[in-house]
Amino acid sequence: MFGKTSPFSVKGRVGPLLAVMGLLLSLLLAACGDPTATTAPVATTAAATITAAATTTAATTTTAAVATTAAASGQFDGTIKFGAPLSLTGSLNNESKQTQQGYELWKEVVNSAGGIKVAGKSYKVDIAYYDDESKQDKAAQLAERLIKEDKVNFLLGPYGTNSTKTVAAIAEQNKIPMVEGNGAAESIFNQGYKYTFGVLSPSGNYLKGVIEAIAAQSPKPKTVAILSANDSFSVEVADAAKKNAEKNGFQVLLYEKYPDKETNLTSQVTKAKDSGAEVILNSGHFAEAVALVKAMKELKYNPVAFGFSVGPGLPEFGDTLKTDANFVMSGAQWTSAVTYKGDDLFGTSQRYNELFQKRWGNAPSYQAASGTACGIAFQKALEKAGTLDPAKVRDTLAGMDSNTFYGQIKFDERGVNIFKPMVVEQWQSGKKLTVWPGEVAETKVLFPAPAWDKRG
Amino acid sequence: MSLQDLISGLLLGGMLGLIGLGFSLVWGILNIVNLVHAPTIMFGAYIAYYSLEYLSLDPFITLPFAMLIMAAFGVLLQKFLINRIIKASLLLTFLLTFGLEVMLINIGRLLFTGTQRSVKTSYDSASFTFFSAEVSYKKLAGLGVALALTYLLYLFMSRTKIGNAIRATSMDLNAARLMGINIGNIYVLTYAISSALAAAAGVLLSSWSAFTPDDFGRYNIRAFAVVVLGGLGSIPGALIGGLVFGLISEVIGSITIGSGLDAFSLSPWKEGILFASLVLVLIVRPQGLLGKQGYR
Repeated sequence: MFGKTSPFSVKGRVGPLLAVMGLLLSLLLAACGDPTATTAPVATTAAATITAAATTTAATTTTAAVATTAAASGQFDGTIKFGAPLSLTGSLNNESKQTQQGYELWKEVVNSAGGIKVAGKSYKVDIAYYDDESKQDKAAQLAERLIKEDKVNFLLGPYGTNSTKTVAAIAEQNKIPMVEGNGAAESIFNQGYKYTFGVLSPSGNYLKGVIEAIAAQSPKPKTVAILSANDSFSVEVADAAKKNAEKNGFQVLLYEKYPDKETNLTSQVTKAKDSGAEVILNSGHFAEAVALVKAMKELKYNPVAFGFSVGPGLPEFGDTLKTDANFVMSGAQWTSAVTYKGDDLFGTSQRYNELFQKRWGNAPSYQAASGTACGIAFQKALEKAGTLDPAKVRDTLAGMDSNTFYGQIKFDERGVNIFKPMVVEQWQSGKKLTVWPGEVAETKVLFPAPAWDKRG
Repeated sequence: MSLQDLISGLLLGGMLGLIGLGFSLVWGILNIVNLVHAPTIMFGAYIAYYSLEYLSLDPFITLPFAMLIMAAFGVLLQKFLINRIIKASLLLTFLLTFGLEVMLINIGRLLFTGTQRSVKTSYDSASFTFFSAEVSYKKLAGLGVALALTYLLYLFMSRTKIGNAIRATSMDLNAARLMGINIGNIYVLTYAISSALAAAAGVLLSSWSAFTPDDFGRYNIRAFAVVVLGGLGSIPGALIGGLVFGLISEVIGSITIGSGLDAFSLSPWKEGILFASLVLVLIVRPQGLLGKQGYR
């Protein structure tokens, strides 16, 4: 009666039943976890969501280029449908929501300014979203559905390199142009695709600005240690950083990779410390960036400059590290402090920032600005092409060269915007400030970083 | 490999041992592979975060409270849910704890959001120099806590009547029952102890790096590895397993073959090598380094 493996007598089928129920319950909870976690489109009707504040400001501040053909009364001759799979739930939901805010702001501002003018007609912008649950395969399926079932005219990018890669393949198959602003890996653009365009600077540029900023300091440091997570995006960034460092006259003493998502970096920092490198560059993600700073302080490794790819760009970097975040520099696609002058709906970062804050109540991240820039690229291409024909719009996108609040938008033959520089931000006295390139920066690079025990 | 790597390895190993200890306990005595272990660690970490943020309580002061809170959580979970299917096969209980893990991590996302958090005290990254190595005060204290808890558990199991009852239960269930031991209570108690240990690990780890609710699943795999390495059903085994795991992990991370920029570093292969060596242990010494039958 009492078996060795199941020490009690097994009473009926209560066990399996409960197990299945538990699993079902958990799945149910996972699904209910986020109200947007449905597969139904979560598109919001354009005009209805515009707040009065955003509408009036947008109407009064639109640049001359758009305001000429009036029709701001809401009379549209048709609708242009855009679609985007976004990670509204799952691990990438924070960044994805910012991207969505960027798309939505563009939509609302365009519509309140009379829509997109194509060959004398004004079109209302509508965007359909689906939740890809932060899964790349799902993103591709949903892109297919947007094209085949929802009949969207154009695609806006999903969030992240992985999803962008799978969706790009779908866009290519269906010959539907996609402009994306949140997949920076060059591998997306090295597939020979003709229908995918990225407004953001590619991975190779992530640490370029940081390296140039450090090279311009005096006395110029001579040696560099590069640490990198071993996922494909981080390695792309780190490989390019190594080349850039050498090009800028640095001697690379250490190039060390660590497992993706590693949060204990003591052995890697020990190596960097032993190498004696004056500058530390890191290509990884947020958690690794925090772990790295903690390990450097703990092991008393004192570089004169710190350059990270991703991590310090988030406000949480300062929240979690407090004063230890100071002096860390990182590349950013865009900051609200840059002083580009654009001929788009927003014109300057300052105005974008203002409209964004009014609409959403939070400051725009570069993910949001990149999203808005995708819309602007489409708008400019459509207005220039004078048709909704996907192939012709693609050709116009390929040839576009435009200055926007986000920076220059121009694509190389692969469809990637190598022309926009990455800006550099540095944490200074608990604030994240734009320090490079000099002509758009708000302040100077603080250099050299004092040793950990000499900091106030 | 340097003294620094050895010390870093020991400090990491202490944490891994603590994680393995609770996992091993439930596995050895309740015969459940308890995947709720990772979310319990998560709750410990968030208790530490919120206590510091809103009550300005140092993590080391939060520690006993977090252990109590999660022990209570463990009592409820075991009594009202896990106990109901404990008679089922290992696979089914595994399925239940897997479901619970997914559910609890999702509850974590709801309650704590996906924002990156980290516990930052004034002494967070402070360290002292020991010969050629830097030793973090925080991590050393963490190792101390891990050793103390292991020793206390060892004393409890070997010296107290209840501890003996727990061991008896794992040795021979029927005999234990015939001796008048209330098996249900023993299981609840064991599960509560395990939850408290997981919470302690969560509190201690909360300052090591930044975390979101999604970052805790990996600790189940770590716990699994530690238990396999140290041997199922041994308190010192869990500790030794953790220390060995930590040491190997840091030492592999430090090995570079050749010199200069073309050198081949083992650091990115760390995980692969670690788990390959685990498979090796399973083949050569399936009972683990200190494994014995039952909790003795």
